[in-house]
Amino acid sequence: MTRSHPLARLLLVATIAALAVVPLFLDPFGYALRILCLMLLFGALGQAWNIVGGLANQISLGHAAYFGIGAYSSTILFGSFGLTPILGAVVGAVLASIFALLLSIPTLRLKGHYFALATLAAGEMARIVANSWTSVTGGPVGISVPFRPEAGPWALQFETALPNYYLFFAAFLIVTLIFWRVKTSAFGYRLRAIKENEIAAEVVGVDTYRVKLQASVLSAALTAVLGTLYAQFQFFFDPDTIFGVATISVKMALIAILGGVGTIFGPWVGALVIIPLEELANSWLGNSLAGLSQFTYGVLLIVVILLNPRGLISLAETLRDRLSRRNGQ
Amino acid sequence: MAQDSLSPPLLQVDGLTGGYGALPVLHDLSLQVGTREFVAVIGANTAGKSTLLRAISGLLPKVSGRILFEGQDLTAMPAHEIAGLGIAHVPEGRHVFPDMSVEENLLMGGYARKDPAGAKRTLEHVYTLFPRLRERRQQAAGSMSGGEQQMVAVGRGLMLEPKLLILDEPSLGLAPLVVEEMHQRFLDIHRAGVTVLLVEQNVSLALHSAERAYVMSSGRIELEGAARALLHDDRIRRAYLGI
Repeated sequence: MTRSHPLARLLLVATIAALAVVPLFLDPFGYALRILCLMLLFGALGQAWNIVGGLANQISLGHAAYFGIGAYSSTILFGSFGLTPILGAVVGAVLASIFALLLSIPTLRLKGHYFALATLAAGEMARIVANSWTSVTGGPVGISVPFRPEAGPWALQFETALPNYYLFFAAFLIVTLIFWRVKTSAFGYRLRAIKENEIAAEVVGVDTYRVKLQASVLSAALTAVLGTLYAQFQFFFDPDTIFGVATISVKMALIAILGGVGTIFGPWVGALVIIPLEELANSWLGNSLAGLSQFTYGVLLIVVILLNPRGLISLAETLRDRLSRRNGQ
Repeated sequence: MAQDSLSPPLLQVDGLTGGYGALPVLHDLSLQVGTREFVAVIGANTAGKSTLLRAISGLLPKVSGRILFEGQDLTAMPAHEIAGLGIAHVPEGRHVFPDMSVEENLLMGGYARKDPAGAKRTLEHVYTLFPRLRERRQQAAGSMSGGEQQMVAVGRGLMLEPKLLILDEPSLGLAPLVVEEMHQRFLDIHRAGVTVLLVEQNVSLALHSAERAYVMSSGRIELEGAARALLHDDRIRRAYLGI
């Protein structure tokens, strides 16, 4: 690992301090706060994806399946049985882990495009099931999280977006911390070995299947918890958005790839760029051009891969190298 | 030199058949490698030499027949467990971890060791064998020359302190001088007590390094014998040495 530049450390502390303080000065019912909430949530999602997509280079395009499982689990359990979404999130994480385990049987031995396509299909499968299984999910019309403020903090529901913001902020920091722990541990080294050369990893004695499986399950469980948080924030969702390819799966991957795949601050930068850009595109063009955000993603992805496959964060590294060279270090 | 006929061989392959998908590459193949022996497998391209090595180290999922290592059956064992038994496979095409430093590559090689503490000692040993690797220990392995990458791959195999070192086409694509140098190191490694199983297209070099050799053709063993004798066998000379 490279030593962190003092300037980079300062920037990190300043960013976290700003994220902690700025929302206090924003309208608690306002649009800006909502955007910040989504940035943190999708930053955390990109980070969760990064555990398996970035560290092991298993480019999953089906993470919406885990996200949706988390959202539906807590919402259905809360709506039908009054179970607190905090426990609902745990149930969602367990179900998503089981789904990841089952999915790994046919997919984990696949490589590259084949893995990406298989996971894409799995995400779509989840969407179709949610659309057809009307008795449980409510089907294509979607499902609402019942508003029960009388249940207190256990309902994880808030009048304004401010408590949600801090919840997302905490989730964002926790997922980042988990990613960092994984990346710098012996487990992270095993993932890196798989990413760099799977045959070499296998012949030195790394159980590549097991390591990929562990990473997938961790990534799936975190994604499901974030799904629950999203449901509690939006109060309403339907299968096509929660299990969406462009709205969730590709967006998660893109945030990590655009920012810098496999790097700790890549998803931070990715979310910082993608979420506002998407909002801008939507507000400028409204609904006149359906599918424009998908189009934007595609263009962005092509541009990044052509210009700098290591992502935006590598621009900061180049800058840092230049600065330190100028300082004669 | 030749294996002790009383003690069982370190590696015994019996009636091995297998390949990729429905297409078998190996046909009822049998061979033995004795403890501390240096055995070469030679043969034309497409004879199935690499496939044989992949079957032994568990990289070929579906095989029938028996592969015994110290009496243990490897046939259904995955590659990572086989590494743990003390079989180091240096695969064809080098396969280093390109973005890891030379030293990180070597340390990964000690991953399956039973005594992780001993890795430091073995690392010194590898650096003594390949001084070039010590000079370049911090360099990313992917940025090195082909010969140096091959040293990394071999050194990584040695980090396991293997009982059996499997070398798959180690001279492929390397400059003649480097090839010569590599083979000297293989002899050093063998002299230090490691059993070596070598697959090599360079038949002359293989037969000069090894004690015993098998000749493979179309997935079968055609011929077996002392390396020196095969070197003077007319059939070998005509088919592989072009004399």
